[in-house]
Amino acid sequence: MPNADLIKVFEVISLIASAALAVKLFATSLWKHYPIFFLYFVFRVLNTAWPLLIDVNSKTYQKVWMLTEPISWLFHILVVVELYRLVLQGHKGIYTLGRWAMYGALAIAIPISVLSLIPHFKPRITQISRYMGYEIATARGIDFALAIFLLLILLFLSRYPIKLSRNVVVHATLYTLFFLAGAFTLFWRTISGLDANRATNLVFLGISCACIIAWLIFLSPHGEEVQANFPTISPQREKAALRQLASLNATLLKVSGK
Amino acid sequence: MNLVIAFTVLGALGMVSVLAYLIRKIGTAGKGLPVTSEWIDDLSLDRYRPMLRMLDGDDIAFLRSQPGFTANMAVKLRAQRAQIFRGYLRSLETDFGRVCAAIKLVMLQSQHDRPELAEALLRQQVTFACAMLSVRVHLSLYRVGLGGVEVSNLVKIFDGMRLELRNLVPAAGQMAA
Repeated sequence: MPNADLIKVFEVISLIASAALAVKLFATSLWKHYPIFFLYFVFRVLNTAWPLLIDVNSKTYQKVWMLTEPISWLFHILVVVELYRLVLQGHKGIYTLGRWAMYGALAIAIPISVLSLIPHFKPRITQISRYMGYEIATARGIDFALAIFLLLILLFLSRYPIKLSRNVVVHATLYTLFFLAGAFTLFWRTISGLDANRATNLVFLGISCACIIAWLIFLSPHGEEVQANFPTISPQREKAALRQLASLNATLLKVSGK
Repeated sequence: MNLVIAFTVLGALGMVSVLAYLIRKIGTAGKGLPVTSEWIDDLSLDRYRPMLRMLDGDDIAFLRSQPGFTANMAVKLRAQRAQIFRGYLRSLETDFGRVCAAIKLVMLQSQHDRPELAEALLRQQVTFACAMLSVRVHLSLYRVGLGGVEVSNLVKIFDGMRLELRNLVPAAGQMAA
């Protein structure tokens, strides 16, 4: 099957899977837990439908694409904020710590993302309009920053005995894969020019279809349950625990002085 | 160009591997936790006391003064002691990690925000990591027959930290109660 036909097939699968996911979220009331995610998929249905109706080489396509792309970025940022809010929601004790982790993750993710925008092999991208090029670069930067941000937040969470619901784990995994796929295929396209346009579109559509289907399969009302069998430690014991830490450090410091 | 694409693909695969590792780690959260909360009180530091004397040069100096004690025997003794010492360090690291996990659990189970506890925990972890690095450097030096560091400064740092913690803990206890 030629690449162009395969792209159409993936676009149709993406449209159907996105619509099915939006319906599932609504029918199972999961949209109340994930309102931004739900709205994003409603938007995605419309955003996947219109390119099937307009000639991709027309000026209208270019204009509509440039208008809808920033809305996509906004949704990408908001769904990550929603996910982070959901993770911290049940853990008031680490609210400030979570905020510090978020600032730290942003401080690392944004510069890395900006640095990744440096390579843009000018001679190969003169074929597309300058504004479209800027939008592609911005999309790549945002997706890459969000992927790094999610990885750093997962690193932070992995240091704590937190039991996350299956839905939140599914979300975090699929969002990260989704954003990584977006960032890397756009990067590939930037350095290869329009020659690689179809190949990169194909890879991105394939991965995003797989992610949407995984969301469709794994997100469920049962997935909201959290099963944690951690011992309950009374707040009074923290005094003893802090003393133990100080004593362990004292032992180590004494030893290091020998 | 192909090289850039190859690096990009490798980078992407690397990040996916990190993601898989982190998700797996989150899935097994809490495995290193103490079985009961009483464990915190029961943890005795007495078992670490031998560590304090283990790398003391006095023993080897005494043995050197004995007839028949050779340089090779000193090297062997140092190697054996370093090996035992590493075992103590591993145990110390495990205990420290478990106490930290218990404090993290207190924070997670708290109904209020606990920034002061988070700060105290982070400070302890940084202190421990620095001290551990220092001990490992000293251990390497000890193995090759070098050693000896001024201890008073380190003890002063610890004393300051301990006083700070004492002031902090009652306030934290009141907040949680």
